[in-house]
Amino acid sequence: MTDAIVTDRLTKHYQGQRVVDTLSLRVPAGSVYGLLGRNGAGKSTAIKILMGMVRADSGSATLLGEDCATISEATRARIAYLAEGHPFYSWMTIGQAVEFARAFYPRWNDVLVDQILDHFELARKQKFRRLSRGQQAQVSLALAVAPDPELLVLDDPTLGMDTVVRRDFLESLIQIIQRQGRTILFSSHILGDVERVADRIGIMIGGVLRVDCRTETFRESVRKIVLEFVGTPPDAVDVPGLVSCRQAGTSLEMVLVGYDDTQREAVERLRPQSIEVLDLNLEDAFIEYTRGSRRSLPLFATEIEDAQSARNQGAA
Amino acid sequence: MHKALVIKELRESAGIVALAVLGVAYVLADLTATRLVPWQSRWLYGYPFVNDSLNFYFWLVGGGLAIALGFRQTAWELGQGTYFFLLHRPMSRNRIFGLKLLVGGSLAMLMAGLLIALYAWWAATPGHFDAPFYWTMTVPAWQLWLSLPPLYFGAFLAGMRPGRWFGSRLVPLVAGILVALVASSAPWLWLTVALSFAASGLLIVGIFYFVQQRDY
Repeated sequence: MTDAIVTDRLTKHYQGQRVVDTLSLRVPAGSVYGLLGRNGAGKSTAIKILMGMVRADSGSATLLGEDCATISEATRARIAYLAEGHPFYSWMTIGQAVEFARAFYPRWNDVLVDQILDHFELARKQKFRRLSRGQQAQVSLALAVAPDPELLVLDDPTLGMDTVVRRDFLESLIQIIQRQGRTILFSSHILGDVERVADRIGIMIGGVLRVDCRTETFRESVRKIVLEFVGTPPDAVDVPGLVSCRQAGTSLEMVLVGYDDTQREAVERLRPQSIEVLDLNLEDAFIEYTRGSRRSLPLFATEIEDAQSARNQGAA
Repeated sequence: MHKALVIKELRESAGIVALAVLGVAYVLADLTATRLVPWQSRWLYGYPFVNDSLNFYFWLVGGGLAIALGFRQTAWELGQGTYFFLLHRPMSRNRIFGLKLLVGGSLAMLMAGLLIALYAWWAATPGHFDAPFYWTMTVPAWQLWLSLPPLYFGAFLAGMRPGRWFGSRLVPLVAGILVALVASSAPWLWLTVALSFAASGLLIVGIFYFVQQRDY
């Protein structure tokens, strides 16, 4: 399978601070990749670099086989980009926005645009400035898919939407994905969104891509271990793959990446009264994983290709 | 796609151009002693193109329009985040910004030129004032007009040039104003043209450098 997006040690600094740190990423063609991270993790900057809006300080990135900094007009016509906040010319009506965007593309599916606008009950004469955030996203989606792009890059497309509108937007996105085998890279910090659509996820923390694996792999790998002690739990805990550790009375809650024999033995050496292993859903797994100490977080490398990817990332 | 971009730029400049049209009308009324508003005089206080207020009014209306258009086409888009909507379209950045410059520059020059041309037409029409009129009297006015491009390009560059401090971002505009003032008061027309072209060339090179190099 070819890769639609490849980045190699992509790095960007803002005012001396490294916001994207040696990002090496591969998004296979035809896959849906969810790029996750808390606010300020570097997701948007990474996407802006890919779209040529921001210049990387070092490293390289290719989209559909072309360097993102010097991408040709023909290749750009095969890529759609939904920027964060859905920026639009507020004086335009939806119809004017459609006409404006259509002028740039050799292929344009007017029927699909009308279907999406009808589905969301949007009229072409509506002014963009009078649309809600959710409606703006819906227009953006219609404009993005109309040129029949091979690659869709969406930067936090559901930001600011209420739950119902977000769900509706994602349903439409899923339908669009299912219609044709497009590659989609989208960033989000709402795990429910990602869980519904993404084949693979990447998690950025402090500019570093800490996780790059299948969605299921991540969800199944992060575990919460609750240890009960007779007296006070030990202060120092040395367990491989430890993400975080919290004391609560006589119990000790640990979040681990994986839970194999080595980790089980390490936990048993703490001599707890009882051990309880809890599975986490994706959202809880993400929260537990991302609020751990940044520098000490274990990298995810559960598959052969993931292992290579993880090795290429920044400091673990 | 060029047509769509030109229409967009024209539409976005319409408000500023409408203000400029009002400004031109007011200035022409003042220069030709036509009373549009109660406080305007019915009497001429000088000879057209010899000792009148054209210089002041030109910079007020023409210069103001050039600066406003330059910022409207750049800083406004940056502030609204609409570059993210525009710049990923399948069209090179140089062409997008080239069209912006073409539209903005043409509008500024057209409106400023219109002010001088209408005033000259009025002055050349017999019966308006009791002194001879020669077309060569309008040369200093056209020197003003030819000095306008550095102002527009300076504002355009100031609007899109990144900078941590607002003051340092305005350096191209200040440079544009200085060149425009020097060029407009040059003793020879060729010197005005040379200064204006040289400064505009440098500013355009700067614009296209930052078009490619800046982060959006």
